[in-house]
Amino acid sequence: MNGKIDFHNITLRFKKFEALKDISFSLDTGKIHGLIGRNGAGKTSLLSLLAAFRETTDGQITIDGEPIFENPDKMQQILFVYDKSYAEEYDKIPAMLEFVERHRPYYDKEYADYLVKRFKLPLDKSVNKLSKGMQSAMNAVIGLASRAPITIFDEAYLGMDAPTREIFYQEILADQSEHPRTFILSTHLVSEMDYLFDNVVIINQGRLVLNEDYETLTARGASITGAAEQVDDFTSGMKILNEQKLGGTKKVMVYGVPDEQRLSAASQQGLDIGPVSLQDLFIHLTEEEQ
Amino acid sequence: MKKTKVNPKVVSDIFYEQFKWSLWFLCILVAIHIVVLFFFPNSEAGIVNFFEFSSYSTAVFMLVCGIMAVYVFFTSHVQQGVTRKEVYLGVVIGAFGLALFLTLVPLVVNGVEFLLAEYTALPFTFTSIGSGSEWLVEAIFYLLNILTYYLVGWLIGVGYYRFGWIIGFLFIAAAILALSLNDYFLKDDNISSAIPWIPDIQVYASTPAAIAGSLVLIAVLLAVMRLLTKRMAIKMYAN
Repeated sequence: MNGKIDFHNITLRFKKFEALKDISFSLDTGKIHGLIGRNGAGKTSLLSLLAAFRETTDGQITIDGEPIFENPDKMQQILFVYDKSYAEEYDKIPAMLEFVERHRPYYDKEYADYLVKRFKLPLDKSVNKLSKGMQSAMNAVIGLASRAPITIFDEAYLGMDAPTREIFYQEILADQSEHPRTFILSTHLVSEMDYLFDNVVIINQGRLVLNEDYETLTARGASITGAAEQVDDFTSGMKILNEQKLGGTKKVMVYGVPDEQRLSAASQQGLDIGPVSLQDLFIHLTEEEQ
Repeated sequence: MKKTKVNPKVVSDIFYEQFKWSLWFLCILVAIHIVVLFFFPNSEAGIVNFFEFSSYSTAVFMLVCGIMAVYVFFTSHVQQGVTRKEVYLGVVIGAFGLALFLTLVPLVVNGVEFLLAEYTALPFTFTSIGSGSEWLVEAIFYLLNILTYYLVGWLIGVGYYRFGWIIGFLFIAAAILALSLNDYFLKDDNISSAIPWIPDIQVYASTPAAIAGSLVLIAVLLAVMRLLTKRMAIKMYAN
């Protein structure tokens, strides 16, 4: 499958403010990529560049080696779903979907109808009258049913209640298994969405922190719990993300996997080795950068 | 890289949307003219014919359509993977189609009014557009005039869309200049007293010169609009 995305030394400046600083990385095709970063990290800026909504100040984004900006073939492959204001949108959902269907070659109408029912979206109300959550669900329908080879959801869940978000996530996974494409999901609801990701990109303050396979990344972190002294001995020299102490017991989160031998030695010493969630890694990796 | 061509879907989207607005506009305009017919008695010269009556309102309607064009058509289309160039071409062709439609309808309504005045007992007389080929020249002037108003509206719209309120005012100034030139070519306006470097000749008096001048103005506006929208950032939020 084609569609490899390359970001080559991307810089984006607004007057004096540098939103993105010399970012380079690649995204493989056919995977679900999680783009995570704190508020103002530059997630939306980065995605708006990929969607060709604006031009980079420096650097270039390519798909299969071709620059995307004003490239009709490439722009057609990308769909950017974001928290758009529908305050002035007097059309109803069917008209909105027809417009998308008209311009999206892989749009699946049956699937869209199914999703509209699944999200219980009203067809007879104008879009500006819908609740925020329903507008977001409509965005989700647009993004899913378009089957654009590169589908970007930028915090597309805003306003959705928990059950609706769950449906949204289920549908992403279900459709991905039947019609594989590249998804980019930007979020700060990391703990809720981490099981969706094949790959994780973390950015912070306009810089790339990491771009790694989800399994590799989470396997890199470990939490070590045990008697304070033993834990300190064991973790000395490791990159410590966080420490918590309760009485004589200490829990330390480390990044950068200790090798198997050390881990089994630790277990023998009675230390408890546990996994670290992506959420924890995210919090501590981006905190440290400050 | 595939070259951008005219995207017929985009052209028809843009034309059709504005066509719908123009139907509302025309209905209201015809209604107002009918009210004028019945409530304001014939003056000696006759009632202003629909063609003449509509000319100023149609120009303003086109100006408003032009102002809205960037807001209504750019964001929505680029979000669906359409390039700026395709949207640009769509807006240009759509504007031309709309201008043609809004020239033909007043001509037809005007013809119907004349026939009614001629062959029915209705007590109306209308001013005449002109005899022989004069009406054709009037129609061409009408078309060029409203097309220019659309492009000027588009210029103002993009100025505000891209640069916000303060620099937007500069675009209003540019718009006033463009419309003054437009009047200089197509109307009996003498702007050389206001703008000293414009030669004091009656361009309007010579049809070919007026049409040529107006076409040059339109070409300049088209070029400026392409430059302004070519690499324009698409606004994600309404503010």
